[in-house]
Amino acid sequence: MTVAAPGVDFKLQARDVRKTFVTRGGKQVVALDGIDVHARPGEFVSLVGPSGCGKSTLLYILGGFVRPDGGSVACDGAVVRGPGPERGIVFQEFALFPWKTVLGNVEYGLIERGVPPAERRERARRYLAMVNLAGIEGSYPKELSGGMKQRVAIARTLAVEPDVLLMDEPFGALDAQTRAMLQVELMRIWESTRTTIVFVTHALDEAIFLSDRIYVFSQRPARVKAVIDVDIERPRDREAMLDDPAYATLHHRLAQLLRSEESADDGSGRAG
Amino acid sequence: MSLALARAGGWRIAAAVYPFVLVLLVWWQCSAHGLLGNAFVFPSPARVWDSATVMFADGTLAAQTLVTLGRVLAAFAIAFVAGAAIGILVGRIASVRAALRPLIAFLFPTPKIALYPAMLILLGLGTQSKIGLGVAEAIFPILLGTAAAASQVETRLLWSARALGTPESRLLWRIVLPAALGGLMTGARIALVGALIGVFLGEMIAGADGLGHMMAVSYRTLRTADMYVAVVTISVVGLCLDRAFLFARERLLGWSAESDFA
Amino acid sequence: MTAADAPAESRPNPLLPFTGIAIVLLVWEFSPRLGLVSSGSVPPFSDVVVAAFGLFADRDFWGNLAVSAGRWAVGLILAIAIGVPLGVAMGRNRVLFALVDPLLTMSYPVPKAALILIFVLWWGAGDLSRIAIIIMGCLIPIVISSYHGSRAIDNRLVWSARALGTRSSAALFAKIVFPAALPQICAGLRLAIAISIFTLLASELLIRQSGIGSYMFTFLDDGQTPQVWACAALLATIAFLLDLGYVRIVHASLRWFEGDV
Repeated sequence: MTVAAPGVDFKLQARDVRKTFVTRGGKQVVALDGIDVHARPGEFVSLVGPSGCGKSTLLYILGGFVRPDGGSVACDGAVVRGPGPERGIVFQEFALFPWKTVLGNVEYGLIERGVPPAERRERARRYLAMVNLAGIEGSYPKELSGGMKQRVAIARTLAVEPDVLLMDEPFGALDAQTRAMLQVELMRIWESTRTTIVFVTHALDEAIFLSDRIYVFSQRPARVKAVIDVDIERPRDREAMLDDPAYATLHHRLAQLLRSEESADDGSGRAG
Repeated sequence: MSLALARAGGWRIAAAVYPFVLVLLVWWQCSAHGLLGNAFVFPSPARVWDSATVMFADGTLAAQTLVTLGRVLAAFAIAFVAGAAIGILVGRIASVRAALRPLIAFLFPTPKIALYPAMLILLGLGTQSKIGLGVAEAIFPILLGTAAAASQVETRLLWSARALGTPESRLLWRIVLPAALGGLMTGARIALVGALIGVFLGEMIAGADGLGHMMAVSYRTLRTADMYVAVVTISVVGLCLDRAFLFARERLLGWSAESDFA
Repeated sequence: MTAADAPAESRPNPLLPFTGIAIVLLVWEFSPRLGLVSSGSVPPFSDVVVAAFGLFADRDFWGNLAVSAGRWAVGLILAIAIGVPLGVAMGRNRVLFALVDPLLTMSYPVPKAALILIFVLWWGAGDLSRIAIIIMGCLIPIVISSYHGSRAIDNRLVWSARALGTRSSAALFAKIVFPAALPQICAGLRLAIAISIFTLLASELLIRQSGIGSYMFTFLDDGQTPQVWACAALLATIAFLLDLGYVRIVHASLRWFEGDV
């Protein structure tokens, strides 16, 4: 478990983050118990762990949507106090504005930035082209497939050129083929923009394919159990990777780490 | 632990009671300072209470309330049975739905009260026209609620029942009716209020007895305190009916507790 | 799969709707003529139609209708202006909800129409009391549906907006909360339209000063039965058309919505 050494330049850094929830019955549940996570500029970092372990909560804290009860989050050295366009977010349920067209959605952040109409339109079109969705600008979200919606969501976030892209199991609601396709798309986009990405998932193959580093979380109360470097060379081929022995070793190791978490959860992991 | 429960219960009671307290306080203060008019036009709660006790003592209040209540219950009962029956037919039988749909679509948004003068002609100035208006107000929520719920009974549910040996004739009773009950009850709650409004308004506009008539007479004879008695009484009746309905629904439909508001 | 997905051969005859209407009209026409119903109470359909045309030609009909329409419009617009923001705010703010909800729950079974004469007592028989009662009548469905609309909003929409640069609560409210709640609000408005028309008529039947309600009642007093029925039928038609028009407009404006209004 590496702790960030002072003076090193991190794009996004969480130090000793803690979060406790109070359930309806009045019980205190510790969700995050002192988390140290960081991402260097241009890095692709994944957070994996058993369901309900709090990795999404950590992501929301990183984004500034949720306040931690302890510890701090810094983005480019500045403390994160609330959400903002420096930390873009993409959700599993797409969260597109249904009353706006595709173009309207992608332009939203640009309007907030005060970008003039002509430039705004051109930029929006450019990002839609980047996610391979040119030509559907006038459609409403209800007319799109899941994969298309998610690509619009990505384009919308990228259009404001955030410093960090936070992704909360973005491909979880999609079928296997679309998911695989979007993983490849995301890789292509990342390699051209080199945005720092923090990616939450519980699919191990996805995490290995996409990331430079993987944080493995324990069951609630969550701690960072391990940090794994993914040493597979880039650019990675999704099919070919499966035959790489390094992949198999990594997958095995991750699965083992997670399995011990799942079995530890048989009654003993419950807090309070 | 028990303290937390007690506190939660306390909050609940407070929430339920506070509107009445608030209304009473505002009423009292407004009348004390003559905010909405003088003591004649806006009597204090105390004066209204006095009037109420007088009317209660000589029996008029109870008598009129019973008259109105009887009509409301009659209207509700008729609307319930007719609405549910038609609703199930409309919900389950496509040809019935097709034949009746333009009629229902036309009549549903109609202000039923526009039909009241015609009802007066048809049914006279007595009880029947009041019940008529009550039924007109109450029947549509029940009909539509039942139809919607009945039409959504899962075909698979019916198939399962058939496969388990339920004869066709009993399908309606054993499967459709319980499934439609939820929608029926939601509609029925609205219908109860509708019946109350219909009867009360009918009595106010043209009648010889009942709380609505009492209100109209008090207005014409300028017995303003009695007007307030009428309003408070009908409000209490409405609240009690609503509570009674919810209670009955809980009993009958424990398995589908629908929360109408929160 | 529901009853609506019935296989083709059991799909109903498309002529059935017309048959339904035709039967009703035929019964209406002939029952009085055949003495099944007293023609003094229920004039034959054709007589009613003739009377309706008579009303069209009457200046007073249109004058009264205009007066009524004016009151109705003002009352409804005010109810919307008060009720929608209140309901939406209640959906986002638990304290406000806790304060207002018990009041609404309490007043729900109370017939607001009962207050008509009280309002007249306070404010006279003019437009103020009519408008006030209309507002009272349709405020609750507007508030309830606005509340549900704003409660049902996916919080992730708000978060996405914040992550795209929208900062102030007011901006979030206007740009995200309100459009997202709009379908539910529109559903509640549909109900409010019907209730407001009803309340307006009730007030006019009760206090016969002017307006289409009192106009209709005059015929009753004069014993002109076909006119009473004609007026009722016309009012029913107007209400029906308003409702139909409203639904059409909402469907056209809410093209993006994935459900039913």
